[in-house]
Amino acid sequence: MNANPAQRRYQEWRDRISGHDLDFAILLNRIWGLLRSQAAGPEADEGFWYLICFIQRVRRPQNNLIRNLCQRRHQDYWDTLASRAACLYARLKPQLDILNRRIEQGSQSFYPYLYRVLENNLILCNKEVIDSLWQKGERPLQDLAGEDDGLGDAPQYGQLDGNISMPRTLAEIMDDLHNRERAHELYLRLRDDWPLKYLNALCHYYEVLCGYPTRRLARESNANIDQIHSRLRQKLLAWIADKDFATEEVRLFSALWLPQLCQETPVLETYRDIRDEQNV
Amino acid sequence: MFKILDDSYGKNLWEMYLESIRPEHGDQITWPSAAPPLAEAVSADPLQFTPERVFGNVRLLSDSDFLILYMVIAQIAEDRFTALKVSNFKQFGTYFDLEFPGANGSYIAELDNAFTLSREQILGSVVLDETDAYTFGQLEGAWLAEGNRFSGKPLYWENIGRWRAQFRIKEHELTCAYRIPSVNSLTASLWIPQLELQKEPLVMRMYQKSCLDVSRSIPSLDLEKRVSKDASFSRDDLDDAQLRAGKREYDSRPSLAGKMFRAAEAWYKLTKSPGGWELELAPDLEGNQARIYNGEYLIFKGILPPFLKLDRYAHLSKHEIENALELRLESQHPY
Repeated sequence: MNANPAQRRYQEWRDRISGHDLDFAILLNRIWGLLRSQAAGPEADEGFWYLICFIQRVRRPQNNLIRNLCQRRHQDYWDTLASRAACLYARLKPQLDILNRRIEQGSQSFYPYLYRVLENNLILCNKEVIDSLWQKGERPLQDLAGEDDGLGDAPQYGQLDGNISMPRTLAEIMDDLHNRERAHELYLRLRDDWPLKYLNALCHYYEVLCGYPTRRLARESNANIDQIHSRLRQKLLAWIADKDFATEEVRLFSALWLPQLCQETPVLETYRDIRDEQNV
Repeated sequence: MFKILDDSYGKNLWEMYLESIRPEHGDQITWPSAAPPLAEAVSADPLQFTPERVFGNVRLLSDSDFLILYMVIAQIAEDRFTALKVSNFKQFGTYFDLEFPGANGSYIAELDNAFTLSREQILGSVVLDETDAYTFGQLEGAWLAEGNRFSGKPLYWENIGRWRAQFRIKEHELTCAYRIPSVNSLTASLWIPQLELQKEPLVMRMYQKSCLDVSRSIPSLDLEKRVSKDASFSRDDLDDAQLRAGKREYDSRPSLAGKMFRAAEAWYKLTKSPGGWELELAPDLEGNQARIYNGEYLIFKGILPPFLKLDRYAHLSKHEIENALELRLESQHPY
């Protein structure tokens, strides 16, 4: 089988470098170089090649299974390496803040952690590829025998294809844009419609979840806070259902707009509405 | 409609699952002594996980036996947190589990598989993914819901199929070392496969047999060969139950040397407490490092407290519980 250009360049590079260049210490340094830089081009290519070397050296039983499945399914093994490198890169990129924090604690904290982050994410990326190779087999979804056990509706686990590089259709992109608009609308409506004490409680929930120090509800007991959170959850779910927002829209709201909403919401140390008390 | 996993597909998936929870003890790596430069312009990347965050992260704890994927769901004391077992093997999910999306992929949260971790254990774990506040709220609500508690109606083995049943058992075995709420706690909660899955012990032994079949029939992963070659390989790396299924040759390995069993009637008593059923342990056992099996399944591992709680099974009668118990204690302690 003829190698594609990307694979050929990798192979040429691999033939050029010495065994010493593949020590884990060097591999990790080069992979960190790839993650921390915004650079593209040859420098980034080399970073990805180090990532591919890492993939082949760690979790070998999974790697061997992928190689065997590729042979059985007549798939190009190189494609799985490239897709796993992309998967690892995508999974590691949101970890820069965490990894920076480890660097500040010293090299003995950073390198073992980086190795484990890479290894553990690789397990997940390997599974995605194995799932997708199984899907390409001669017995794809028929593997899930359709026996009705009379238990009624249950979550569907049929979507086994974990190919992250599938291009999105125009309709999916339009859906995504629509969801983002609705997320913004949800932010505006919550800001305008909800009483301050509810917004304050929502922001307390968010800040505790994120591990941010917060003064909100500081004068409430832990038992009260648990109650407030529990009621708030129910209130939010009911309100969202009432206003007909979809799950994906609410998820986008909490990722994109909730931080801003909490920046804008004044801090109240108690759940009681202080302004109401003052007016009385 | 709920689909039963086909045997060959389930077997492959099960094998991959066992491999993915096995810690890899690779070569000793010499870490560089100098710290590398920091990543700059992190803010240019729109999605960044929050370093301070404890709740709602998908994290992976690596202990000597297993890799454990989990999410912290609640705080129970200054240094103690409740974690929910999470898995990316969604195909093994049942209607007990809640599928949820993370930033990098989707997972199932096993709502009946909660355990306790310290802050140090959490911060020592690797962050793999993060959920948004709304998804976390849904998970928290589902976990707290009454309907999630064991009602006395088991999750029948026949209905979910053996691969899902095995998965549930193994996932609970992974977390059975973390069932004690704190070091000073007087009790730990147990999850009993025989009660949860309602199956006769004889049929449940198919579990171990299938484990052996799997490791023999998939040469690419070659698990058996590695076990026999490597004397220091942990028995849990493959699967505890598999090794106990009659493979006597493994019993001579150093990790099992000196184990002692104690007759059931001598070491525990089933009693009723206001919170449900309890196993009251013999006073001389408290503080000992031990493993407790029910039938073939490991249900507790660690330092023994005075009581073991069966609070999940408060609805059941003494007779029903006694019928399901086949307890065996394994300890280094010389009785």
